[in-house]
Amino acid sequence: MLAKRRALRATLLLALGLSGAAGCLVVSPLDDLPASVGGSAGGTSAGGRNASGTNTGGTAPGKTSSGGSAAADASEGAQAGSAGSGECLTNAECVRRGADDPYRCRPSDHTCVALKNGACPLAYGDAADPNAIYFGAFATLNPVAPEDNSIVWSHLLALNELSGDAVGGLPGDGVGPRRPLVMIVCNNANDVVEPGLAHLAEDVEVPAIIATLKPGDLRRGFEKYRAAHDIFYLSPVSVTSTVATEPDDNLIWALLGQPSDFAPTYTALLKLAEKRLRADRHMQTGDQLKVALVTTKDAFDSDLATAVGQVLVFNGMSADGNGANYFPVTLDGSDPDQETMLATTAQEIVDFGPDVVVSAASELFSMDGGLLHSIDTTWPGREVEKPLPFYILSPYNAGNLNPAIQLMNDAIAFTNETDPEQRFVGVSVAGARDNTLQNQYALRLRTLAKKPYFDTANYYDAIYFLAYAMYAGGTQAELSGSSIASGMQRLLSGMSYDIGPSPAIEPIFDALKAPATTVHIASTLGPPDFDPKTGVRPVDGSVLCFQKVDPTTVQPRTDVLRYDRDQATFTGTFPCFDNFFP
Amino acid sequence: MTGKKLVASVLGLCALSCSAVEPGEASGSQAEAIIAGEPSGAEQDGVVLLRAVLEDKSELLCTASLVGPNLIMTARHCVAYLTDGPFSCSPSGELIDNPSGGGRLGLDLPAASLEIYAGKTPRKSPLAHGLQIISTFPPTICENDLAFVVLDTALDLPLLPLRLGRPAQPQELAVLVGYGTSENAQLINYKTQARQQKRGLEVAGVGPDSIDDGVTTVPPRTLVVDGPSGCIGDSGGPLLAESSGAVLGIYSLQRGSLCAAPHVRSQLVHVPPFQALIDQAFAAAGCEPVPEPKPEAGEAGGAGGAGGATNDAGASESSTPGGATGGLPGAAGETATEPEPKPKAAKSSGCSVSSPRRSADAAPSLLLLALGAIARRGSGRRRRPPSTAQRGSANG
Repeated sequence: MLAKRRALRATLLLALGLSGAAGCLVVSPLDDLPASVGGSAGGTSAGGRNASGTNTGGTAPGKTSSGGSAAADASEGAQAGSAGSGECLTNAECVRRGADDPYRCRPSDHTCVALKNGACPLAYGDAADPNAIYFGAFATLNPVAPEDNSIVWSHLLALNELSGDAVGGLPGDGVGPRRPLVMIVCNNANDVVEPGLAHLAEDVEVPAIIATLKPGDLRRGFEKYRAAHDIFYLSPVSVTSTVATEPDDNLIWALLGQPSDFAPTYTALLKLAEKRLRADRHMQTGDQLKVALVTTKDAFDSDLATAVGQVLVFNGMSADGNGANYFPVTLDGSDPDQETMLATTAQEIVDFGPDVVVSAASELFSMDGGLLHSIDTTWPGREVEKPLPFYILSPYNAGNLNPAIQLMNDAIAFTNETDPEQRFVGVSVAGARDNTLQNQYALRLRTLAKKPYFDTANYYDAIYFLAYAMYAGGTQAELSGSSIASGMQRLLSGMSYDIGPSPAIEPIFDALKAPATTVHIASTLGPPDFDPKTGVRPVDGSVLCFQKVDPTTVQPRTDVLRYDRDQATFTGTFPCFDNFFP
Repeated sequence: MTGKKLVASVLGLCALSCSAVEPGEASGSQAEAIIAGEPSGAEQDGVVLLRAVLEDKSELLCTASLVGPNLIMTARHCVAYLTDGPFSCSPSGELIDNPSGGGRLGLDLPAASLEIYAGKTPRKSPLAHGLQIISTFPPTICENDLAFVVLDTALDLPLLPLRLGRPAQPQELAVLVGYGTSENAQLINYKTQARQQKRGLEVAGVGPDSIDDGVTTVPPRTLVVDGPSGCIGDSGGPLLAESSGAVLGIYSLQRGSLCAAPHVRSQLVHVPPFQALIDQAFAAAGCEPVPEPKPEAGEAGGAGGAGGATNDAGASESSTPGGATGGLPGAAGETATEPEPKPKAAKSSGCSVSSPRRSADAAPSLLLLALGAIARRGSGRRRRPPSTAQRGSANG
């Protein structure tokens, strides 16, 4: 029983880590966001959740003969013109046969395939449309209310704008009808990632996937299906250096960079921390700062720790050059006895006595009862008294700051420590330098969802990039991953256009009509400065900190400093405590 | 977990007014299933009891139909997370938005948490567990409230034939079979709850096969039955054609606050329009549906009752304490309702119980895992999977 509980917990932790990476890496300032415009019920869809076709015939359920269904109207017949055999000719007949649920008449074998299954329980858009374009997406779904999901809402907002009544989808060939987008959302929980990928690749045969996946899952999926299925993957989140650099025929693109993008921010932040600690603790020139670097065996964390460890400088030396004053720690998320593992590691760190603990770790570090909590609670038992350590949280940790906030609030309430927030800063992803589009996105999101999480514009941008890349790659009946990948290359330079709803959409389609034209798509995240070779868009790091809103409660302040890669310094204002920056 | 800790199950839900079902000690022996029903005989042994044990150890009881040796058919709200709270459905089968979010369906429960029991009491160990859940994944309870569960074990019980290719007819006579109670708040002990049947029901309305056919007073792919019939625990139970014993519908919702109210209206999922889902489910189970027997001349409206497609109806368990008292007019204790053609025996049906390539048979960890994700997500609902009592409140 205990083993089972631990196994479940381990699984839970992995999932938490993923959602941290997936949901909250984009930290953008919303403090100056205009007042709410109110909200309506969430979960609207482009074209209706349960697509209703235009088919008015064929009332009898059951398989149709190879001759096709009398229900097919002219346009649908055109779509299925090549159908000589098989059980379906149109999407609409499959939808009807499937109890009005979203189905596709799969072109490769003219078989009706359900868009939804246990791994992919959500589908949006007019699946019955004869010209529908199907693509997949992943999100961490709540079992009770899977549609109540910030990732899904962000995707839906873009989908509605692109494929709803105002625009109707991608332009068809010539004077052909619009091509609505149909999105199938799969669960990225560990146990169902593989079945979800299989469903999208093999059952529905999608040409593209918005890959909100752990980098390892993305890589495995790509490698498994690349031979038989030409699929374009666009990750709204970060990928590892392996995913970024391994040859992939340009089929994998990523919006939020890779771990090495954050390393300079860590270095600069540690430098600020050292300066402050030396002053506060009256350390002499010869006194040595002690630093612990915590990571996990997760691919992203491991990659991040490697990148950070190589560039950390303190006591005037590299991390490795610090010898005994540097303590790298790797947490094993697969350890069946995580409680003991975390307690043991915390004790080791407390015994080491770091002045600074740097997290390149995911939820194992920051969750309630995680390593951070264990260190702080174990610390008072040290043989030699020393101030509690200063923490630098990771972009993963920034995805869910609640446990850290709770720890600080508890410290204020139950210990003698009055300003625990002065021991915490974090690294996150910098928002766009010009946050106009981000703020506009946030306003529109409020009209779609009741309580959305606003730092999700990367999921919104992903749908737009995909849609424009599909169109730029060609409007042939059956899109391929390769054509979409080539379309992405047309979005990186040229006349600049902003991402956003109509009337901003049609000019971009118009511009892309000419095959040789390229455009510059400015997204809520900023310019489309993808590396055209790796497909990865580098990101700037930013700094978050915590401030008291009253004497006993702290709250986070995100994006307070932005790391300028060119100048190798921070810009911005640090509002949380004194003697830190500048 | 013992059988004492009871079971409130959910049956259909009332769209107008719902009352919470309080968990408590079992009183199964006092429960009389189905409103004004009568004992269900051995020929209805293909109607099984479905028990789900949720993460918090609460239970959910429903009724299900064995339609393949390793395949049952039930209501989807019996095998999925459900947001509790009162709700209403529109005539077009849409959930009317409500503050509580009541009536929304989530992901499937872990298939392995589903237990199947036969009619014979007292029940001890489950005959089978779920292996895979198949449905159209409707987001609300108002539409397509139908699910199949592939089992990990082939059961040697009568198979229920399905009405396929033609719809149920208005005024068609039918019988409802289930393990439900006769009162809204009645608790059920899954170990002892008897199976009952309600004969002489009449299909009061048949909805269109598709919303494209237009909106009527009956939602798409829905049957309605007026007057008292099912109650808590009958959800997922079959409405059988009296003429053939074929499954016409699956008990889903109830409009009205009390099961026994004279004007209560029950809403059932109409099975024939779900051909694609049926094909998918039987393909996953590796078997074929038992076709509806053709009524013999002069028999129309007379026979029926329960699945005639028994493997060995005479040898099957008696589900009724005190002996089988058959479900058909004049058929008490008899097995005279065997339809033609003879059903396939379980062992020769070709059904497979091997695990198909799907994820729906996910272990409980999947759900716990996802719950953790929502708990930390900071957006959307932070609900735990509903307890039995919570579900009861949603379903009246």
